[in-house]
Amino acid sequence: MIKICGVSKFYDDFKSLDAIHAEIADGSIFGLVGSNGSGKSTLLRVMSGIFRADSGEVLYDGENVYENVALKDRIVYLSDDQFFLPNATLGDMAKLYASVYSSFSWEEYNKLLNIFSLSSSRKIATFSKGMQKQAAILLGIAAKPRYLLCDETFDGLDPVMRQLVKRILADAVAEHGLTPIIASHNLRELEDICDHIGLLHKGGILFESEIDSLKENIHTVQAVFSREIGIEEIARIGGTVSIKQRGSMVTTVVRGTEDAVREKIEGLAPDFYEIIPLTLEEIFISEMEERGYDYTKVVF
Amino acid sequence: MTTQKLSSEKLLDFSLFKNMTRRRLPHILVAFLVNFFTLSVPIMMMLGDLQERSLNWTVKKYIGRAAETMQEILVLHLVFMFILGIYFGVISLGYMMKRRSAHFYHALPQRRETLYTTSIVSALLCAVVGGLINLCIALVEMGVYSVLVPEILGVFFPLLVKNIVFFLAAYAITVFAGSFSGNGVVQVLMTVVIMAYPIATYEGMILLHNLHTTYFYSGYYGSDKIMQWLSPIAYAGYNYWGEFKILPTLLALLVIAVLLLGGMAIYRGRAIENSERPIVFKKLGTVLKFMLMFTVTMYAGLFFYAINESIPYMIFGFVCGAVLSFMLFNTILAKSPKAMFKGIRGLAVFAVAFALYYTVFGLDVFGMDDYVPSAENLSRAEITVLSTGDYEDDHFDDPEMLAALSTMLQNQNKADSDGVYAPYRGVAEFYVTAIMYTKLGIPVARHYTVSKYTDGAQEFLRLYADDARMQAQMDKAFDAFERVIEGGYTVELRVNNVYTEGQYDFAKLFKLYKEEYGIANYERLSKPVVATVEIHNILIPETGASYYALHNFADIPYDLQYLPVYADMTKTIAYLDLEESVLEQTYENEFGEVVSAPLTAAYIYDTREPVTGATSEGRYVENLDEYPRIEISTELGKELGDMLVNCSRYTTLSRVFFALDTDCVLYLEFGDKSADSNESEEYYYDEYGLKYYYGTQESGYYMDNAYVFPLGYVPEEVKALLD
Repeated sequence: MIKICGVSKFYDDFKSLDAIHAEIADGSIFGLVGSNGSGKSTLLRVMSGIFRADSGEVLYDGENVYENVALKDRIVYLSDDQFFLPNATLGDMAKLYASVYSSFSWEEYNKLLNIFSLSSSRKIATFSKGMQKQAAILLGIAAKPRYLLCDETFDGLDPVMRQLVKRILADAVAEHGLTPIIASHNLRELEDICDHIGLLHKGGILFESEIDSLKENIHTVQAVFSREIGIEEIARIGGTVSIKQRGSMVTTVVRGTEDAVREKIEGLAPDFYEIIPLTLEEIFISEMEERGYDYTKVVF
Repeated sequence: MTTQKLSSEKLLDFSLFKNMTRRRLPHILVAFLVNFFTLSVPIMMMLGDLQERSLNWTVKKYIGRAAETMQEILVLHLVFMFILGIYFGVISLGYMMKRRSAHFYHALPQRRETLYTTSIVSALLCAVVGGLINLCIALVEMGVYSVLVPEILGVFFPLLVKNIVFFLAAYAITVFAGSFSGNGVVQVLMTVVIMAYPIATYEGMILLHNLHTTYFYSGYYGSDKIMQWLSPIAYAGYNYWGEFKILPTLLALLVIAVLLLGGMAIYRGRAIENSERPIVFKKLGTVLKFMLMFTVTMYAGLFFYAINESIPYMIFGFVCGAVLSFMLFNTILAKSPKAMFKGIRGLAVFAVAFALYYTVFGLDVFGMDDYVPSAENLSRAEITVLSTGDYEDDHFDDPEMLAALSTMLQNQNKADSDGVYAPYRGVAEFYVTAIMYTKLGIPVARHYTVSKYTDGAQEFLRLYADDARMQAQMDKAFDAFERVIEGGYTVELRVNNVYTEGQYDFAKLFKLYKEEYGIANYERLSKPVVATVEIHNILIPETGASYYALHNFADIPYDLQYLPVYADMTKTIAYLDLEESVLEQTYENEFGEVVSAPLTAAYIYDTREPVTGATSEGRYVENLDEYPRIEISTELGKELGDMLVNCSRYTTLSRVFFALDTDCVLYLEFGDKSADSNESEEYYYDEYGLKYYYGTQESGYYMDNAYVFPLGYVPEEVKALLD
């Protein structure tokens, strides 16, 4: 369990993280979404023990990560801007990882090497940007950490490779109990892999929740009424987040389980209705609007 | 397969160390090449050259030359060791200068201390490997050229160890600088600043202070005794040729260790997110900026002062230095010229602080310039009254001497502040340089021109001259004269600055001299000197090789290589057959002929009441007209003149201790000086208390001379005339 307790971080006078609180359960895949400059990378660097929080602390199973060698041995941080030793081959980097991470597995390394079709003896500097990203992920997973902190990991990967990486991460979660924390500015990238998500904005987490729970508790209803019906009447069913009416067709987002929503909408006696699940992005828009934020300014 | 290994929490992680060192193989090559071209290659070339030239040499000479060659090579090597130290210092913390690498390394399961020490040990190993290979090569070369002998190794290894220590010093300073810098270039600049800042700032303060003080002895404060401790480069420069000493070496290693540990402490506290910033600690950057501004401002002022020796120029320099350095350092620290005026209020505060500093210390507001510790507060003093400076290391801790020194200097302060001056420069004054240590051990270094008329001056001179060390110095000088005689060297003498061309038997002369000299004390040294015998040249008869001066023959001060012939040494004077009279005044006429001038007028000036007030020439009273005078007959003038000695023949030793009559001055006029003199040319020469006026008249030339009397030489009837 990762517990982020009131973490704040300043860059001179600029507050990058503002008393962040969050909890991440072991074995979950946590997505950290936010616009550029929202503090995602800073939070990951604090979580990986690179930066010291100006206040608050990051606890892994109750232990503070900063300067905690034993704990950091179970954490791998994959930067959005990967660093490789000058003129190093992938094999050289693997040796370095093996020399510092006690759980580094050459078996896993070789397996992933085959999966990614990368050469161990080729200088990393000659790799493409996507290949370098793969190399970083390969090394991170081969170190067999308990926590993998990925910063914009899918950036630069082609769609096929993106799916492959997602599958590898999912396998690692299943097989080794890995807890990946993936930061991205692109919500769509996280939708199909993360089970938890947190939204970071201006150094603070606006909210964090389990994605399934989010999806189960909000629905879009499209209904057709032959009778005259007003927005006020629809709103009276309760739990509506938004209501749009175009002629006889009403589209409304309603909170509640599917059964509860169905019951509410049937109470309005529509001629026809359909309950449509929301995309993660739509859920976020709804959530943001409810909290008074302009979603486009928060995420995009 | 899983690597079964626990992450290390030790200071040195061997796995990481191996990995880092493997990555640094190119740096081993750098260390090798630098050592190769500054040690191995020069040894090969210079020893090879030496061997070619040594066909007719003895083994001893060959080894001696080889030892000298080794010293020259190792000086060259030292310079490059400094540079290599800086290079490896930059390498060691190179990973901290880029955000990507800094983040990468600090995400690894390693403590900061482990990363730091591992990197340092790895870098040092690279340097050591490169150096060791060359050491082996050098030893092989020495073997090949037959100089692998204790005499050479005794020169080679101590200097090599010194070079290694200086390498480590440069390395440690660079690492220390790197620990608070996030930019490699700034790290190097900071290294240079650390090495040069203390010495440059200190020297600047001394120079500035010296401009506005009279007694402050910058020669001590700016001497190697202090300067060598302000920079490793200065220490190397001052001490490199000295013998190898264990204690300073251990101290240097201790300082190096402290610097490296200090660097580690700073490293632990630095924010990794500040990599790539010139100075990773924001407040430190500001402090450094103002520290550097202080030094730049000071030197800018001194530079402008040097142009015109004008205070307004200096103040203009201060303003330029402060503003320009403020802009420059702001730009460097922010890496943007847009920031050059950032924090302009800080510049205003700095300007006020600097003005305060300049006023307080530069202009000596608190009057520290003429501070002389009281006798009770003095623990010891190093005193020099002779220009040779050889007494500088003589420590006087005798309470009587310290009291005499303190009293005399305090009285001189009073005389100077009251504007009471000696009538003549040179014979009437002497220079005292005193490093006075207070009971707390604080040195107060002052340089005074003391008038012999100042209360306590004669007492001080008496104590100084009667000190056993004076005799010891004289004994040493006499020993040197004896050795010249015993060695059968050919001696060329000058008597009263005139070459004697074998006229005298030096052995006989010295025997007479020594018999009459007695002991070196105030009684002897205060007597007037009628002649000076100087060994002008010492020649080895067989080879004709010349030592030139006695100073070169024997390690004695220049001032003691002369034999002052005192007025009471009748036998010596008789042997020298001195005929020249002080009254035989000569000058060159318009045709370049040397002609004598008859004495035409004589005056006695009464100097019992000191004249106050400085002249335009400075602190000396140049014009005797301010003293009461009586005219005497030329006969009496001649009679008195015969008692005088020509002060221009005095050595420093004679001039300092020469006791003066404080009552009167004899003033003589030579030549035909018409009443309505219309001087077309004027010249005076008063270094030795003599004063000449040369003037062209229709009726001919004239010359005025003024003399002081040696103590006791003024007849009572003359003194009575003054009353």
